[in-house]
Amino acid sequence: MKLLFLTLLYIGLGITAEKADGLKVLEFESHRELTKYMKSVAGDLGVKCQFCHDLNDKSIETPHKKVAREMMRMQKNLNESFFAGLSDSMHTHGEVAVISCWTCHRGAKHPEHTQTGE
Amino acid sequence: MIIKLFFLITLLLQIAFAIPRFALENGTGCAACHVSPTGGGMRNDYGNNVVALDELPLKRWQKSGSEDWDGFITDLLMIGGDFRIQGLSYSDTDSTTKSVVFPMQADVHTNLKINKKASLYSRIGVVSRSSISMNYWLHLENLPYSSWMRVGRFMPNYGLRLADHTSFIRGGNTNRTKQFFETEGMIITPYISSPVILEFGLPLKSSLLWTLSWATPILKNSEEIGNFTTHINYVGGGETLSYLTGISYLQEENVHLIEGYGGIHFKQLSWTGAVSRADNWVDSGISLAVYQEIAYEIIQGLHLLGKYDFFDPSIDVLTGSISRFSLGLDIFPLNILEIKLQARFNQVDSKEYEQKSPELLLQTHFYF
Repeated sequence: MKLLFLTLLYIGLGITAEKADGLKVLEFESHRELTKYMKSVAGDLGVKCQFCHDLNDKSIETPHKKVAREMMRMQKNLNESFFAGLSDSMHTHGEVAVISCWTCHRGAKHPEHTQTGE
Repeated sequence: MIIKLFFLITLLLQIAFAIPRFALENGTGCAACHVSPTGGGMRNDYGNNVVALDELPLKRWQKSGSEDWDGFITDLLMIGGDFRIQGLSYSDTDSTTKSVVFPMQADVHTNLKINKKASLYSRIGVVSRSSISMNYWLHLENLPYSSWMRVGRFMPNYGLRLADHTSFIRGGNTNRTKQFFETEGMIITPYISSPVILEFGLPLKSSLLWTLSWATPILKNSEEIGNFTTHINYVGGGETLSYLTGISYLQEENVHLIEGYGGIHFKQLSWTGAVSRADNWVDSGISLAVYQEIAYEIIQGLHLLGKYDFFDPSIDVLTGSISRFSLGLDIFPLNILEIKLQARFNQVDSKEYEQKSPELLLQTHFYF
């Protein structure tokens, strides 16, 4: 059994490290940064991780995960194409310079679409 | 009495325990929060940084936890720890009330992520003032069909792996009423040391895990393979309703154990139950143990618990069974602290035994 343990350790050390998988929209250098961002998303929507992820196998594609990717793409596009180009006066006046999930969701799974007084 | 106290003070937990109802409440396998693929012991980054930090502690002191702590001290190396101290107040055989306080667990964990497919885990536990125990394994994952294998020294994946080792489905009472029976529980006691083991795991679906292992015996000292264990666990559900079920089989020489368990979680209420049968564990008879637990989450971080434990060393003999009723609170004030308060009442099917007042238990568990 000791021999088997050492053999498997050798095999394990020899296996080449893989690039982070599953990331199709987000770009994070470390897992810690990714977790921090994911927690902020969960907080903005008022949900737990299970809302989008199958925690038994996080690589499984779920319907909510697909929607989340589209939302993240939209947010990224808007921030890069519009908000990044705002004039300095917007920034100096403390206006919102980027959007996040919170901008629309406000702690709810589905953003409120009804206008006040409608 | 002196011998009893000696055991109480020197005996420290050497088995990685878990709280199955947390897996049930989240509708996920134990491995979602633990480094071990079968659960228990060291928590992973999700367990530390999400569940322990955001979902478990009282909201009042939630902000005292650190967002930066996920167990990793470098990009690849994680550390963790479990430390338990327990106080007991009980009526002794001479009808006097005795109180004891003793260290129960002092474990330090490390897990080195070698790469995406391999990690090396070790747990050093203090057994007594002069000795330590060590558990370790090499874990290879992401093998074909998402299977994995582990080899090292650790306990087989058997049954509902409750944190409470005094449950009769685990090891039972180690000394409280032992003067009446030879054995008061099944075989997974804190006295046994972890065997050398080779374990395979195959997720049949994401929520259905099958494990099987071959190991050196846990009931005697031997270097020959003598223990076979297999386990199937299913957990599923949604946001309000979740469920788990499983079955385990363990065989060692002529001792055969089989355990079935299940649980349902609905909103703040959880039920977990298990039935365990052993052949040739006590003499050459059939032993039976039952566990039932109802938990209600009053608020986040405060759980009300009611438990029923039953053990019959031999179902062929009409007398000689033992039941235990427990009522208590499980409190998580901080992301690193669990406090258990319990009142326990033993009921023995014997005219010689009468427990006049409940046994009171206070346990503090620090974890990170």
